[in-house]
Amino acid sequence: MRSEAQIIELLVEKYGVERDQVSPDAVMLDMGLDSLSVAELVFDIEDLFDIVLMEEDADFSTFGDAVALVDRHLESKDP
Amino acid sequence: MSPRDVVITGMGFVTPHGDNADTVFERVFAGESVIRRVRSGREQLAGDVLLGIADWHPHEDVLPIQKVVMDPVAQMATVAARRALTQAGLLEEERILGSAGIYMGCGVGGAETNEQAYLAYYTSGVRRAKPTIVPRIMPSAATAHISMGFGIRGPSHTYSAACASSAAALGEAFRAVRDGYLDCALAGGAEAMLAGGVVIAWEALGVLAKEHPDGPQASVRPFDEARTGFALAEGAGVLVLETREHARARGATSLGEIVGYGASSDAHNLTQPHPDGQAQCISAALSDAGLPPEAIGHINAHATGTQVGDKVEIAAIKKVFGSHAYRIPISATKSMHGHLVGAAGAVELGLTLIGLARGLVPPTANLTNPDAACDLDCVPLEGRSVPGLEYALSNSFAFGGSNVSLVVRRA
Repeated sequence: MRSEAQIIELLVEKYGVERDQVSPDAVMLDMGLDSLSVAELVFDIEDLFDIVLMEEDADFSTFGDAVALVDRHLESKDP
Repeated sequence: MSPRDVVITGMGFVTPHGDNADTVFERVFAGESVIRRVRSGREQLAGDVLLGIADWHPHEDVLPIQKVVMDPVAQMATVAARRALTQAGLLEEERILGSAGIYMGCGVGGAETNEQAYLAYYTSGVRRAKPTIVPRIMPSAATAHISMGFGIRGPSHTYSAACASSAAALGEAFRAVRDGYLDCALAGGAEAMLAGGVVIAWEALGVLAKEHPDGPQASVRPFDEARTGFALAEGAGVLVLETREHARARGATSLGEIVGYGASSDAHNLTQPHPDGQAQCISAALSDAGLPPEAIGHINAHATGTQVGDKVEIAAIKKVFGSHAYRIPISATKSMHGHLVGAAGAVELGLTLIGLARGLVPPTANLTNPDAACDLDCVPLEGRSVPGLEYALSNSFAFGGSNVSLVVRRA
């Protein structure tokens, strides 16, 4: 869960999500983001963690999915 | 359908004088220029420019998630729209908003986003771009966000006619309501194009004001002998238009009325105006209002402060008004707030309406030595109370010779 705290900060600071809305099952679209914002979030995540997300990958719907995805990429970069 | 009277029931501004319409008027009436010297551009490419920077509160008025998908131009437009709808008492009126239209002017669109996007792409060395760029850049973004933000489901149109954009939007919205296409419309404009790359392009035209020895605030001098050009500015103005009956039925207060809309084209030159096209436009507005020239008690001039533009407008005014031209107080408020381009027509019409309601005409700041070719009453330096003020004319004359004039009446 290395990326969890940073992704929470990103969601709160840039996307205006309330900290207590964030949980593993929280759906991005229910936290106030629309599909365009989620696409921007993918871009921000790539920049923040210096990873490249493939199109198939970037189809996460919950916060937990996003964290798991990023952690997988970080693992394969730097186990 | 017989034409209906069209009244204004709400106004919202984001301007270099602030974001409260009444306070903005008071500061303009007091002759206060807010033009400042600003460092524009990046690092070794930066230079000093005279600009009118919006004085607003995005931290309070715009949500973080809105900033993700909106360039500042759309943010300003949405803030101004909210203020206008609040004043009109329409924020909660889903049914009315659901059948209202939104008509906005915008010259350039999301300029700041545009600049950052090109910068990132060309310096990154990677073929990659943010997905929000296109929706943030498109000139119709402000219109779209107002529609989405307030549930406006009638027509949503964006007019891009440079300096005449929002005047055109207001004119077309007025016509739609007057002629029975809509009972209610939001109309106005927004512009936030003070990005470094945009400003340098304007500098190259040789139309921007040079700093006067007395400082930035003395530098935009419409009608004055020593005028050297204008100061670019940013902001938004949105007005709520509805039929008089529609307003009356729901107990809304009229802030004034639009009674005439004229438009014309110079068919002359990309950057130099022509008095004939402008005269034709003003005449068309008067004729649309069913008014003789003598009915006009005040003119808010387009007058940006350029050598050529100001005297062409004076010539056009003389052509239309004849000897009456010498009796009309003519205010060039760009002397104080600068040139808001896509938002100019809307903000200036709003100021004109507030002035009419109070029987006041704002001054033309910095008019210490009138050019002999601008020998009309241009309200030098001090605002004035004008008893019996009823009708006013507001002009917006754009690059490319696209002209719009609007005639308004006090409430």
